[in-house]
Amino acid sequence: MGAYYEFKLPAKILSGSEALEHIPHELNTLGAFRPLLLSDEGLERVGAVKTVLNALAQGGMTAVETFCQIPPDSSIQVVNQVAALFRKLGCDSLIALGGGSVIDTAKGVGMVLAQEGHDLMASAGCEVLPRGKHVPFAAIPTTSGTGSEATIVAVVADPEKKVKMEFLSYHLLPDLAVLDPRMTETLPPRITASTGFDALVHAIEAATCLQRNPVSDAFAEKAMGQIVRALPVAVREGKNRKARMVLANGSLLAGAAFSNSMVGLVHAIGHALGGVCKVAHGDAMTILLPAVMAYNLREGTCRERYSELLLHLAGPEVYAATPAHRRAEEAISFLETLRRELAQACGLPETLSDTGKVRKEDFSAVAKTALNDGAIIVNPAQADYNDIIAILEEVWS
Amino acid sequence: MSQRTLKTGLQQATCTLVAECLVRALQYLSTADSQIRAEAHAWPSGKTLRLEVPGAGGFTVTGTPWGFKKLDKETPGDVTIRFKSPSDAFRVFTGQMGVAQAYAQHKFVLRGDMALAMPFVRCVDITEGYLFPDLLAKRLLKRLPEKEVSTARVYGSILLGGR
Ligand SMILES: [Fe+2]
Repeated sequence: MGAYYEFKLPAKILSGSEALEHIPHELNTLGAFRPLLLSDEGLERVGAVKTVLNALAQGGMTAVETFCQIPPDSSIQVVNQVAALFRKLGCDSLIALGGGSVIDTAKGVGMVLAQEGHDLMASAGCEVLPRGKHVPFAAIPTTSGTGSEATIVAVVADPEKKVKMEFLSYHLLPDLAVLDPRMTETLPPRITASTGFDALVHAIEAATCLQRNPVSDAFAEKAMGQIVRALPVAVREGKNRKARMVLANGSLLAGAAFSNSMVGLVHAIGHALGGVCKVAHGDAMTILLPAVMAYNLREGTCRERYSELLLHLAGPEVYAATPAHRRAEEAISFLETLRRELAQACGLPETLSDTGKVRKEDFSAVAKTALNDGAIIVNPAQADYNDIIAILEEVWS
Repeated sequence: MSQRTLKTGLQQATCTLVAECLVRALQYLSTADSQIRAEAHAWPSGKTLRLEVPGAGGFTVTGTPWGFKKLDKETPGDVTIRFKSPSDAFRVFTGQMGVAQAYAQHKFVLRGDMALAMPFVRCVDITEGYLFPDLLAKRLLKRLPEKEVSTARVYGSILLGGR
């Protein structure tokens, strides 16, 4: 652990049944009355947008406009387009209903508006922006994965450069993180598993990378326990509200953890697989996690920490029954077993070739992109081009 | 002058000096070290990186197929790394803290495209492997780079202005 750390606590959390109905009150207290609601077409189809609009209406609030054309892989262009719409309509706040793409788009929009600019690219960087004009912002996650409702990070694609741009600013943190069981219970098993694994990776990387600190450890350790216990249940029984809420809370905690301690090599390679080959983020996380943990161990890092994590992952009985020198490896095999279970339940991919999106010829471009991803800096073990290629080979089939 | 401002002044002066040494070492290693040569060669054409220390100015570099090149003093950076305080910069420049640790401990902010800063960070890591004794470098770097020329040769090039 470093000699110095910084931690920004997450937004106000509204978590539990009928959380949505509290949004109007909360936005009003922030001085906001004319929200722009952002979502995607899928959520409009399944009625989630309508549920939110009804909940707002109960508090006497109407969205000035509902914009549901946010694509799964949002881009700088979409962000700039929505910011222009916000201004044209005279909105005063943002409500984002969706997965990572929708919430990160809203963050980008908030950033453009706060800086009173027109192009998100002008805001690229890390910790550099002044607060600017404050645009009240409620985030309602519909997947339990990115934790974006509690992070200072926004990932938005730059399609021309085929990379995912990362924006880091404490001012990106939403004002409200709204976890309502109605919002995740229709999420199909396959996406539940994939996004849930992403949340798990956030917790594990946050708990182990160079920027970890006492507060992020507390969040991450709690998060991973909640996620590994609730995820299989939520995948098997989507309508199990208790499991859904445990998972949603775990995902938020993991988001708050990694937002302040960053993620590592799993994400560096995962972002590159997303940028170069369009592998879904959660799938990339699922495929890479055990192999990267094994790599970190081989490089002589993380043994003590992975051993400790076994307690949070597998529980006290397993931890106590495992000899100390085997605990780190046991933590990895626990995760492999969980992945196998999820793969059997819903077809979660376990190898790169399973995804059908990657060719071996892409490895070189993926490795080069991963090397330039900021997440690699705080990974405990060094990884160069050849190391990344070796990891990609290992997870190929 | 109070002790405090004297200390800050000395730290700023040291940073200016070490920054100049670092750039010269980078210029020299652009030909002498195959990894740094490759990074300079692959550098996106015309893109600039700037490093700033509060109160001590900064420098801007770019990569070319012929190696790293220092640009005019005030050239803006496509990506700018700015330390939050002179003492933070001092710690990094004098080998008390590695770049990864400085990043993890919020010692600098970064404006612009982070992907552009990464090759520079790799080159700084390699350069530190040459400039600092192994025992010290081991504390700063996750992995010691393989030296392709001697440390004495790199220091010699710094005295010769980076050649
Ligand atoms: Fe992630």
